[in-house]
Amino acid sequence: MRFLARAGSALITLLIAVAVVFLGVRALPGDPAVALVGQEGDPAALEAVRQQYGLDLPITVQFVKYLEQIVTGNLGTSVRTGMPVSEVIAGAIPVTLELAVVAISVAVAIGVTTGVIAALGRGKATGWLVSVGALIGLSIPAFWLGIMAILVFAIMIPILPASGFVPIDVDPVAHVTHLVLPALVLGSAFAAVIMRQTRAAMLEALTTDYVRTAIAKGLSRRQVVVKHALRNSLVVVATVVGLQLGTLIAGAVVTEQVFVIPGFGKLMIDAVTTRDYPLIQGVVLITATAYIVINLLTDLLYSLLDPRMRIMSGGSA
Amino acid sequence: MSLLDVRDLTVRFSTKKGPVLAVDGLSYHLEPGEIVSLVGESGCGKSVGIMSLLGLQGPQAEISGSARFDDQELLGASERKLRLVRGKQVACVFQDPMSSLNPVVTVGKQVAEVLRRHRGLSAAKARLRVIDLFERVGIPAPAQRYASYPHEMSGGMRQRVMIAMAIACEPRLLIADEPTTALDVTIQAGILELLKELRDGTGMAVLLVTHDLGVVADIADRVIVMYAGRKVEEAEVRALFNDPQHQYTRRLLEAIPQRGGGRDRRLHGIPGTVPTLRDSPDACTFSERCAIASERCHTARPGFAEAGPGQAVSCWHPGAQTAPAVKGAVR
Repeated sequence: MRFLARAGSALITLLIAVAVVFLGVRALPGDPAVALVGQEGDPAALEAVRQQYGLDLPITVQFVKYLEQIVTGNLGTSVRTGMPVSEVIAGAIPVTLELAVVAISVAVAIGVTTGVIAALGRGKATGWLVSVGALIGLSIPAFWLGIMAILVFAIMIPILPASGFVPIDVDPVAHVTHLVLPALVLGSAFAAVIMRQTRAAMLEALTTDYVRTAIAKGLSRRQVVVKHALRNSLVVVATVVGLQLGTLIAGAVVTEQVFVIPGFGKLMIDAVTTRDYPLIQGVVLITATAYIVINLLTDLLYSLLDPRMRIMSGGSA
Repeated sequence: MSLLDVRDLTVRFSTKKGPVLAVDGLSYHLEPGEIVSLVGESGCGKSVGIMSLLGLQGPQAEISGSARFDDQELLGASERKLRLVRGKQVACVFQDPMSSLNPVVTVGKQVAEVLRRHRGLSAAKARLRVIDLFERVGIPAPAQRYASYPHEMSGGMRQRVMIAMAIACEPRLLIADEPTTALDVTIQAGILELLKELRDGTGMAVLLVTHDLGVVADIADRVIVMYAGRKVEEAEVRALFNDPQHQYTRRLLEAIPQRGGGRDRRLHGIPGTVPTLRDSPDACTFSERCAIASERCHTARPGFAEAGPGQAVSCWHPGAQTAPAVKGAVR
């Protein structure tokens, strides 16, 4: 029941996002018809283009038509390549998705582990060291870190490829080696955020009454930390991961640019630099959809991690 | 030999404003099967005093003195040694069962954990034993309740879960820190009855911390009254209620609401608040709030003296009914 309500509100959010994208693109300075035909274009040709793209229709009619298109999965045609926008995006998404999943996995593994170490080592050298490390990880911009990583691991100590992307069906080994540096660079800032949140959540959890109960039971330190404190902290970590996925997309834009990976982020930059309006529109729409879906999934993950959320979701107690 | 023998327990916290003396030279003992109650206002050090027995106090606490449980020293014992005592020989029930249970683990598993830890039971065996325990502490439909989460239970049921957890390994001492304070009055009686039953059935001793003299009258065999980190009076429960020796005990008893007496009957409070002790003063700690305090009360600390069979008090004017005629004249 509650999931349906949640999905319904997600749908409304999506509709609003579509409207904003639609209006946003139209509010951009410049006429798309002029962009296509050229500044010196023949007025008749301009008119023809306007008619072809329905730009002469009232904006409300245009919006309804656009909605119809989207629902049928038609995101328009890329002006630059002449290919359907949906196809262009579909080609780029798996690349970014793989990069993101690997980056997140690396980030969660590093972030949670160091977060726990930092919390347990609070006030000691280990805790301080991890915290400083995270601060550095957070402060370094992805593009600089990417360039430095290439410099060190591809040029000074040439153990990994500097850039590019190899599809898995072409060469699985090269596929993996090409992903290592981008995933680490993309995940580093993320790992730092997760570490800080894990540390904070752990420090709080360690002072709770139920952790005192766990200690009073005679459990080992490891049991107390992992089964009781960390289990509760993961709810916070899941939220952060969910909220930060958007930032991750932004990070992917830079990382893909640095490592020349033909993913969604690179597509976004290319679309903007070439003024490919249908493609920009499609890319932004997909990004918004991804955001909303991710939030929905995060909500679901909560109820998995925290049984109290289940009771709030309208189930019987 | 006593089951628990606490001697001169002192707990000091270092704070930004300097050290605070939470417990000041507290001594008491507990016999097997006995229910002893530590009574006092909030902040008198009663909780800190018992938490430190199992090393459950905060890391800022500085502890001295001795606490021998069954001939092993608890204060300053290693974590490894304490882990063998905690939950197995000495178990705890805390004030708020909601926050004391892990919200994301089923109650059954939380109890089973103790059995698996100390008894090495398999998951399946532990489950059966937990269902037995749930039945014993009066949780209806114990098999179904095994898979419940704390938020799905009422406060009274949660406290019963805590008690089931505490008695799982048949401890010889149960420490109950305000076990009924967070519960409805109607539920309180049931929990106290259960504690008493368990004591009678297993012969475990109970160290009960409370500020509620009603609870004390219900269940305790012996009472230790604490004020500002010090023991001010100790007596059998009957003697304490019939013939309180310390002025603070007297005031506490007067502060209990009574039936009858009509509208005019006023509830008696104790003026002032419990002082925060920076160091051990050469005075009776209650002197600032005491109606009969003499000059001596402000300048010298009264020792702990026998005041009757099984009753002892730390007061310069023990048993005084009213304020002495001339303040400071009584010796």
